[in-house]
Amino acid sequence: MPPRFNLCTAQKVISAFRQPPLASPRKLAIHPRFRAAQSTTPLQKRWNSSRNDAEDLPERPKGPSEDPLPDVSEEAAEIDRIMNKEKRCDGQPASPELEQGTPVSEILSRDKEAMKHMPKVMQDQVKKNGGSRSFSTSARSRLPDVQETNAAREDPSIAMVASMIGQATEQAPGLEAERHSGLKFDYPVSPANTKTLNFRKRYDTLQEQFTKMIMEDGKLSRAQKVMASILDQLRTSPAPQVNARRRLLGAPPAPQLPLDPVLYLTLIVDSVAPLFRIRQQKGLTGGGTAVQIPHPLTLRQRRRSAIKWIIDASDKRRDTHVAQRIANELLAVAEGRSGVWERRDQQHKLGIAGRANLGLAPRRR
Amino acid sequence: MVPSACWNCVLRPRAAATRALLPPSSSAPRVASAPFHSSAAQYAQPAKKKANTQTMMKHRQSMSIRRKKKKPVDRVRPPPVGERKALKKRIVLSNPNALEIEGMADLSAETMSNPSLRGTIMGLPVDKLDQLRAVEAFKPKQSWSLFRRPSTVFRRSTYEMGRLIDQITGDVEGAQQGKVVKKIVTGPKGSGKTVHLLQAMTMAFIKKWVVITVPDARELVSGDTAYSPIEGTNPTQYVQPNATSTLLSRVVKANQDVLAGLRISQQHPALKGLKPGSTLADLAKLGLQDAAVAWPVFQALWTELNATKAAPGVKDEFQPRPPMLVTLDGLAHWMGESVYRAADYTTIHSHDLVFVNHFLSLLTQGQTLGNGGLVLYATSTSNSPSNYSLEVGLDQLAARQEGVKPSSPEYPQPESYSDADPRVMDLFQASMSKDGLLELQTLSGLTRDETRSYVTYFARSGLLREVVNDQLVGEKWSLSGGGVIGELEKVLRRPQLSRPQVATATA
Amino acid sequence: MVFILGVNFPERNLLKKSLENFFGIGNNTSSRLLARFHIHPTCRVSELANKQVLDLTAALSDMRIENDLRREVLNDIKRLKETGTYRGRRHALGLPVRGQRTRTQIKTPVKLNRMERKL
Repeated sequence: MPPRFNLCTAQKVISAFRQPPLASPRKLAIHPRFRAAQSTTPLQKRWNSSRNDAEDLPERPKGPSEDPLPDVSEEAAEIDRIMNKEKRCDGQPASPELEQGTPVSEILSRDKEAMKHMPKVMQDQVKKNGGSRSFSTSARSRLPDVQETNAAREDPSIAMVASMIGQATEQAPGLEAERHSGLKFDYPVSPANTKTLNFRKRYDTLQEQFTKMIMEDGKLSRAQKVMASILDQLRTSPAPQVNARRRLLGAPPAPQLPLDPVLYLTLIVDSVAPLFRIRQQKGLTGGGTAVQIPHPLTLRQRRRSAIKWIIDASDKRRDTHVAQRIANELLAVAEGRSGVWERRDQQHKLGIAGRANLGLAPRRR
Repeated sequence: MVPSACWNCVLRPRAAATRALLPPSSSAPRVASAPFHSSAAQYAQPAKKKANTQTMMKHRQSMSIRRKKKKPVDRVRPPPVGERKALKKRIVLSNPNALEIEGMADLSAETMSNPSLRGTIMGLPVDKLDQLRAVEAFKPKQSWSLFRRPSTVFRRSTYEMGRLIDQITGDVEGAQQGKVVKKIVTGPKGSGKTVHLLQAMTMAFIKKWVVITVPDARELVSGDTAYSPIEGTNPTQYVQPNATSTLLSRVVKANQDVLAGLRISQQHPALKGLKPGSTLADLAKLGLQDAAVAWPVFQALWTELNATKAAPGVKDEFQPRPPMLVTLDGLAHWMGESVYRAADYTTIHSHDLVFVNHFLSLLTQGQTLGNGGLVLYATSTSNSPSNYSLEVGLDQLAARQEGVKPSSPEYPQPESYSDADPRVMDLFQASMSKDGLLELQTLSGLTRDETRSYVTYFARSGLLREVVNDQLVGEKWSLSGGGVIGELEKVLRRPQLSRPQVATATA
Repeated sequence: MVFILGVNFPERNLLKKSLENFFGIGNNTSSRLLARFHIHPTCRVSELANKQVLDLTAALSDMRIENDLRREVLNDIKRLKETGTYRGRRHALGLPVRGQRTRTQIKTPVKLNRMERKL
C-alpha cells in the first residue's frame, strides 16, 4: 500500500522542522535601536509574525513545575536588582543576600554527624554519587510526546514527509544562490506575513498611547501637536543629569538620549512604570475590612499608570503650556527629581507587603 | 354752605391712604389707562387677590432648576502680559544636543556662486546671524532649533541667485552690473520661498548691500498699526507712522555699518532736525525717535540711497551708494482691500496706503532702484488670503515669460463677472508693459542629489538613525511630494518606525 | 487710566471694547466712531493721543447715549402703556410684545418687562 498523505501529520512534522530561513538576514537588517526596542517591548511584536519563531517555539512545552517561580528571597533580590542596582555598590544590601548563605551540602561535608541524620533523599543522592535521581521534580505531562512518537511509529507517511522536507531544506541554500546569480539587485523577499502588511502605523506604540492620554474632549490632532512639541522639547533640552539612585532602565549614555526623543520618552515611562496595581478586596478575612492584594499588570497597563502619574504630576506645574508642563515633568523624571518615583516606590512597598494576602485571594482563571 | 377746605384737599389724604393700603399692584396704571376698554378691568380682577398673584408670578417665573456652576479649579495665575506672544515669536537657532557637522562649507563671497558646491548644505555665516535676526529673516515655524547651527541647502536657485548678486555688484563680468532685477517668488507650500529670501539677504549682507525687508506683509493691512490720512491727496492716501518706524529700526540695525559710512548728499528741507554732513544712520534714527516724522525720514533715506550724484548745494564729496535688496513676504495680502476704514466707513484699498504703494511701485518698469539691486517679493501659502486678481496676474506673468503675446487668445484674462480687482490688474499691466522686466520665479521640489545631501545632513546631525542609501532617499523624496523641502523636513523629523521592511539580503 | 466722557478706562483695554461699555454703543457704532477719527481697530486705550481722546469725548457727548437713551426708551414704553395699546399692555404684563408665542421660551420678557421697567 502506498503511503498516504495525511494533512494533520504533515503539519506535525512541519512544526518539528520549522526553521525560519528569513530570520537571520532580517534581523541583520534591523537597526540596533529597534532591536533593543524589540527586546524591551515585547508587546510591539505582531501576532502571526514569523520573525521570532525560533524563540516563540521552544523545542518542547515546559511543564508547570519545570520552570518554577523563584522563591521569595530570590524574587525580592531580583526585583531589587532590577530596580536599583546601585545599592549594591554602596554596600547596603536592601534585599536578602543570596550569595552569602552557606549551602547545606557544604555543612554536611564538614559534619559527619549531620550526614547520618540527613534526609533520605540526600542520602540516596550521596550513595548514587551524582547519578540520576530516583525521583522526579518535574511534573510534566509526557502525553503529547508519547502520542507523537506513537504516531510516528504507526504512520509511515510522517517519516516520508519529514525526509522530503529535510531534502528541501538541504537544497534551499543552493537554490538561493542560483536565484541570485543573474540578478542585478537583491531578490525581493516576500514578507513572511502578508496579513499584517497593511497595518500601517505612523507613530510608535508608546507615543500613541501617551498622545491619547493627553487628549481631552476627543481632540486628537490637538493632542498630537502637544506630543510633537513635547518631543521637540525633549530633543532640545540639555541631556539629563542622571541621578545614580534613579537611573533609567537600560538607557544609553545620557548625552545620546535627546537625539532619539521617542526612545527617551519610552525609557522614562518604562522606568517609572509600576509592576503591579493594588487591588482592594473586601470580605476575604471577614469583618468587611479590605485586603490589599497586588495584581500584576501587562506592559500596556504598566505604561498607562506611569503616564497617568506623569500627567497628574505635570498638572501641578506652573508653566503656561501643557506641552511645556509635561516635558518638564518628563525631564524631572529622567533626572530623578519627580514625585512620580516616590509614588511608584510606595506602590511597590504596598505590593510587597500585600503579597502575604495572595493566598487569600480566590483563584482566578 | 361752602366747606372751608377745597375738595381736592379733602380727597388727597384719602387717596393716599388707600394707595398705601393696597399692595403695589398693576391696578393703578390701568385705572389711568383709557376707560373704553373693558378687558383690562376683567384681567385685573384675579390679579387683585393676593394668593392668585403669587401663583401667577410663580407660574411666570423661569422654572429651570438653578444648578450651581462648578467652580473652576484654581489654575495658576495667567502668565504675565506679552509672555505668550514672546514664546510664540521666539526663534531658537541652535540645538546644543545635535551633532556638529565637520567640514560643512559656509556661505561666503567665494562659495556663493561656486557651481561645484551645488546641492550641498551650507552654513549661514555666524557673523551675519545678528543682522539676519534684525531683518526678521527667520520665522518661528521653521525648524532651525533642530540643528547645531543654521544652515540651508545650496540648491540650484540659490546658486543662480548668488551669481546674479555677483553680477549686479560688478564682481563678475556681465551686462547686469548696476541693473535692477525684479522677481516674484512663488511655489507650493513648503517649497522654500521664505528661505530663498533668507539666502538672498545673507548674500546681500556678505556683499555689503543695503537690505530693506518687509517680513510680513499682513501686518501693514490687517489694521494692527496706527494710520492717518495725508492732507491734500486725492484719492486720500494714508501713512502708517508706527510701521514705518519699525521698518527704519530694522534698516538701521541690519545695515548699521553701511549706513554709518555714507553721508547725506541731498537737500532735505522737510527735516528740521537734520544737521548737514550727518550720516545716513543718523538720518534714519530721526524716524526712530519720533514716529510722526518716520515717513518723511524714510522718503529722505530712500532718495539718499538711490542717489547717483550729489545735489548742487551739498559740499561733501559724493560716496557711491551700494546696491539694494528689497524683500517682501506674503504678497497676496497687499492685493486687495485692507481692514482699515476711511472716515466715511468705506474700506481703504491696500494700494492707498503709501507704505504699501511705495514698495509695490518698485515692481513697475524702469530703473526703480538708482544704484541697481534686487527686488524679491515672495508669495506665502501658509498665511494668505485667496486672491483671484493676483492669481490672474501671476498667470499673465508666466504666460508673458513663455512668450505669449497679450493679444493672443491664450493670454490669461480674468473671467467675466469675476470681480477682478482693476487696481491689481493695472499694477501687473504696468510692471509688464516693457519687455517683461518683472520675472516670475517658481520654486519646486529638490532634486535627488539635493535631497540626498539634505537627508545626510539629518543623519549626520544625529536626528535620523538609518543608513542613507538610494532606497531611503528615493522613499523620502517621493513621500515629500517630489522633494518639497518643507514636507521633507516633516518626514525626516518624525521618528522613523520600524517598518515591515523588505529584507535586503546581500547576495 | 484714560478718561473718556467721564469714565475711566484701563490702559490695556481695547478702545473698541471700551467704547462699547457705554449704553447705546455696540459693535457697529464703535467701529464707525473709530473710522471717523482714523483709529485702527486694534488700538489700545493707552495708544490714544490727547487730541483723539478729546475728539472722541466730543463725539460721544453729541450722541444720545447712556441716561438720555434710557430715558427715551422708557418714555416710549410709558407712552405705549398710557395710550392703552396692546403693546403697552404686554409690556406691563411681562409678556412678549411682538407677537411671539407664549407657550414656551418667554424667559426674556418675563425677566425684563415689568410695570416699572428698568434699563
